[in-house]
Amino acid sequence: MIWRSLACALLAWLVFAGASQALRETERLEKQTELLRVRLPLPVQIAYSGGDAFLAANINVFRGMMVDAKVSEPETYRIQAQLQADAAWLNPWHEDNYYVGAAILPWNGQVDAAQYVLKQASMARAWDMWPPFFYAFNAMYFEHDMNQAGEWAELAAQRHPTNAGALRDMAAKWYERGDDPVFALGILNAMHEQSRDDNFRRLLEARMQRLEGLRALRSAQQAYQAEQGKPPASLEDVVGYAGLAQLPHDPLMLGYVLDAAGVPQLVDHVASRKSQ
Amino acid sequence: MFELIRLGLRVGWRGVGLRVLLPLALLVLVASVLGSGFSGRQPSSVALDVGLTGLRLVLLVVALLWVQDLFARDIERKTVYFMLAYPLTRTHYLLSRFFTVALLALVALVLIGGLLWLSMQVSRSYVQVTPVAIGHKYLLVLLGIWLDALVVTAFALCIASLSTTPFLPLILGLCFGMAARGLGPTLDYLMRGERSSALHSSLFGPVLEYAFLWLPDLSRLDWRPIVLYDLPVGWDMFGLAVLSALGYIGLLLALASAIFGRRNFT
Repeated sequence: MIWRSLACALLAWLVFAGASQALRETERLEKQTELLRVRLPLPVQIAYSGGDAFLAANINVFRGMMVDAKVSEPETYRIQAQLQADAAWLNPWHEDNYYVGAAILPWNGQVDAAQYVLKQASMARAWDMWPPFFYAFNAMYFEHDMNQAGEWAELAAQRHPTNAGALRDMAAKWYERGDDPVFALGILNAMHEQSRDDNFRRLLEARMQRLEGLRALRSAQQAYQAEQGKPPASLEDVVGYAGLAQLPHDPLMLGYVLDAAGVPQLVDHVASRKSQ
Repeated sequence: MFELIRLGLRVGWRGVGLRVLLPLALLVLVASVLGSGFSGRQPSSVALDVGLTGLRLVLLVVALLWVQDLFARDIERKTVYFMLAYPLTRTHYLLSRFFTVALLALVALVLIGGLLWLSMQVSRSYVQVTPVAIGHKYLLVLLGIWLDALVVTAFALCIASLSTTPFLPLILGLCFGMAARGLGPTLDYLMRGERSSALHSSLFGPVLEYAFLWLPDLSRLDWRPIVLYDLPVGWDMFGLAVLSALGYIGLLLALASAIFGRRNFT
């Protein structure tokens, strides 16, 4: 009797171990858990949080934080933008929400949502200079609206008297130079230094590497134009100028293009401006 | 009546006492610590935010369990006959049950709120730009949460006074609590939110527009931003919210006493 039971147990174990062995080799069904797909209407978000608006805001922010640094898919960022805008409406004081929003959304084509989040935060956090400062920067760099940029930089300056001089000075330079990647690099670098979240830091590092590439391309293009007297026809033309040995590598795999004036730009940056 | 409250406190504490409250408090604390891990810039605010969410949820559930234990079960087990044999009116009996649950909820609030306060005293390596204001403002926030629980308690008592099944107050109380807490933000979003869809506003607007006349807006009793972001106390709004909550509790208790006074137990 005991032998029969043991034989059954052995047989079952063989089936179990064999299946487990085979499973180890098999790909999992869904390996895209870090992507975002779903954003329910805001009243539903409040309902599934048990009527607690602050919990609903926190859930949205936490979901945004889970997005992996490697993701460059537009749909994920479109959903993240909506989730963060909802969170800004539910809890406009949320510091992580506006900070992550400023660091990620506009760089992925979601400028409108980023500006909404920053506006809400600027109005709620009357003591905080950073939301109006980021708003001003986005207005300058992404929207090319220098009047808006100047207004919001002034608001930031009023909130931080010790930095006011430097802020006004910077706003004046923005008027002169437009979308210089050096400014963008400075902002991203400052955010990187102030953050303690590793995933978030990796994301910023990728963006900074990308902007370094753009900066190298821009200086090569300027050298090309000075020497040839005409703008380059393609990106490959500028290789060899200003010490550019090869086309820079974009860690987000999106790449660079030349705009109508022959100036190198980020691919998604051009696309987002067109869609606006 | 005081004797009845004293007895009720002992019965309630025996049913849902430390044995239930301590694990729930620990759960709230763990959720609060885990929540703070998601935050890069304001870990203390998020920890307290998640903790207060947990506290509100726990208080809602235990208050309803106590109503169930002390009132609905009295009717179910017919022990209400002995209660009504005491020389006091049905209204007194009902009120004593309300005050008992209110005091028990206060104990739960002090226990969990106190543990949360203690967890906030642990120093963190990261210092926030705006630290949480964990002083007298915190007491004010706890008071708001207690009033919120009392409104739900009064509603559950009202339902229990006419219900013939013991679980109806529990289930309807939960639904009521969640609806009343979510009503304010939802309505604001539909009517005034610049991002809401026109279809939703036109569908739900007419139904919800006058909801303030029969459903209290419990989100007005949620004063946690003053602690999380050290904001000034808005005494006018707080006073009106307290007045509205007390009025609603009075309405529900009067209704409950009218229904219970006419109830036939044979």
